[in-house]
Amino acid sequence: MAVYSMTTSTTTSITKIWKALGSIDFAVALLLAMVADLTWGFFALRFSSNPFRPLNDLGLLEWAQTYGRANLGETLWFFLLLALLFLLAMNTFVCTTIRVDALARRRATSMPAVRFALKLAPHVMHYAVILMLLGALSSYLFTETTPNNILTVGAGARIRPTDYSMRLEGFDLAFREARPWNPRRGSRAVDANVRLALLDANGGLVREGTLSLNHPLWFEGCSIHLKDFDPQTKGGGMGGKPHVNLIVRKDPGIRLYLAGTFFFVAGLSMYVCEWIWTRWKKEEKS
Amino acid sequence: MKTKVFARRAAAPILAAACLLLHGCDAPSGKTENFVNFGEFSVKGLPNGVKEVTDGIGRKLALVPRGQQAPEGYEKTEIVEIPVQRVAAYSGFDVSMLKALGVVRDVLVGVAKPKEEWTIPEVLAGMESGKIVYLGEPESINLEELTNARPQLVMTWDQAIIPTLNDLGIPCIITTTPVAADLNARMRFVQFLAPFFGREKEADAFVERVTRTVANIRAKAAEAKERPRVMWGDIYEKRVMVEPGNCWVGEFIRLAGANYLFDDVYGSACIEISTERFLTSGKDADVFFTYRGANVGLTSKEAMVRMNPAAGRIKPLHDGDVETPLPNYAQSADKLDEILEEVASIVHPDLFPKKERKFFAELPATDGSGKASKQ
Repeated sequence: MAVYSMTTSTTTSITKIWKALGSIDFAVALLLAMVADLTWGFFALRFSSNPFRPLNDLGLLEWAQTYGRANLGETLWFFLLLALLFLLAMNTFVCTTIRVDALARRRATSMPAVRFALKLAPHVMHYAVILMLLGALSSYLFTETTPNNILTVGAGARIRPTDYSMRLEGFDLAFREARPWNPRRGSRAVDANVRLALLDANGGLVREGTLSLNHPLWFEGCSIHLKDFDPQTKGGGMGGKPHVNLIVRKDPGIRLYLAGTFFFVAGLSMYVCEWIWTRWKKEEKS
Repeated sequence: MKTKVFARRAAAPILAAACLLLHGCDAPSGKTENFVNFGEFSVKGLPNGVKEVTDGIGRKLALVPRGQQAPEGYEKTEIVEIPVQRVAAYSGFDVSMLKALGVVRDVLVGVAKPKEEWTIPEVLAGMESGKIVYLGEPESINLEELTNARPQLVMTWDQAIIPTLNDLGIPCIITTTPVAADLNARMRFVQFLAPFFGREKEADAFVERVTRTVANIRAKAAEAKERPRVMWGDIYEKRVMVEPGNCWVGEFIRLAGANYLFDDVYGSACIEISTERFLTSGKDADVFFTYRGANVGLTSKEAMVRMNPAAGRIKPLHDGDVETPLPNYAQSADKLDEILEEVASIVHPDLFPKKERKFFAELPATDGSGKASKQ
């Protein structure tokens, strides 16, 4: 009898925690805490140097153990933000699961299959957001980054972590459009179209490819990004040879982002269908 | 109510997680027991006395005690044997940092400026004796001279030289950063260089000296009744370049009891802004520090207006102070404390004692005005 009572009490506690974790009050409290935390972050960054710059190159764990720990005055708000984001993801998951469970129970008694599927739309979007957050987390945790592959024309570098390599064939600058009242504007480069030869371990040409800002080149599971280039003005830059600076990334989080985006769009489409269907039903009744 | 109960229950695990994540975080800012960063530069301790350093653009190099096996995972040109015995350096700032460490006479073997442009006595003596060679202008380094100089390390701002140095098997570090260094990073850059030469004590002494000076200036500046408005940059024939607000210059001007007029500008050192933005701030400025000096033709306020008539619209040109750097300024970072004292005395002559000018000269109104420059 005592054992039964203890089990019941534990189950009740778990149920209470589960419900509290998914409550809307908790979501509001979390969002308010995030606003306060981000305000703190705004001031922490505004009045100091920026220890977050190496985060993209190092990954979250190494950054947390080095720059993050060494500059707590500027980074503590970020660690708190991670904890808050984790709780928000939990809250979203529990809240959505509770509602999906309730919906499934209603469906068992009265709801047609199509209507049930359409009713799932907001929950699909919520799960998709969690998937995207997981994608961001795995990007920061598991991405292998090789920053600063500085190449002059004809120079090459290994595409780490693969055995392939790349060689810079050349790059063309894209300039801003000159305006009559600001002719100097036309002498500024805003982008560079970089031509790369992608080579195998023996130096044989696999294929050629191009990349520019916001248009990375994909090769063997890696993305090659343009970080910087020089010269950036017509007739020369800061001196030195013309060169580009490339970043190579192997990011396992991208699949999760894409899956999250796909499910979000699917959920949104279902939501629109459900809205149209409800309106149509209402009009039919009236 | 439920939320309150949950919040109370959740607080403990959240705090525990935060403590685990931040385990050992009782270190001062920028430093833990085996890691220290100076802005974007960093030094990380590895086993067996090896150190991993990160240069200005985020490249990692391993500093390995001479004769010891290098750790795995680094390319040949990412391994530097320490203490470094032969260095080639591009900029006056880098060479003056070697001077602060007390190694310039022993290790410098190549520079990227001709002898006429140097003011550091050790460099002049080294170039006269042939120990230090002129390697050519940065954009056209003479690779034969460089190879003959046999440097074990090249200190440069030029990323484009990296592939060439990799081919030659010479490690290099980039000593500038894409975003301007703040005052702390500027003061402590010497501590980044120290492990290359085993001169940590000298670096710490330098930082302590400058920190003391900054603290004194800050304390005295707190008494200031008025805050003069200061701008730092230059207006050329077609371009305007300034020091952004995030730069050490902006930070120092603020703590020296003045208002820096480009506080809202963010980015790299010597950043280009629009002429309109420069003129708008210049209308209210009291003091204007320029990049150019008399050695490059900026001999008077009149000469400056001749080069770009728009410059005449800023207040310091007709009712204020224009300060130009003397040739030794850019090669005197080893005397950073003295530079800061001189800047403070220019900005607040009412608070700081007037000393003999070493690094800046007041620009006279006209070339023949008879108003002597304080050179």
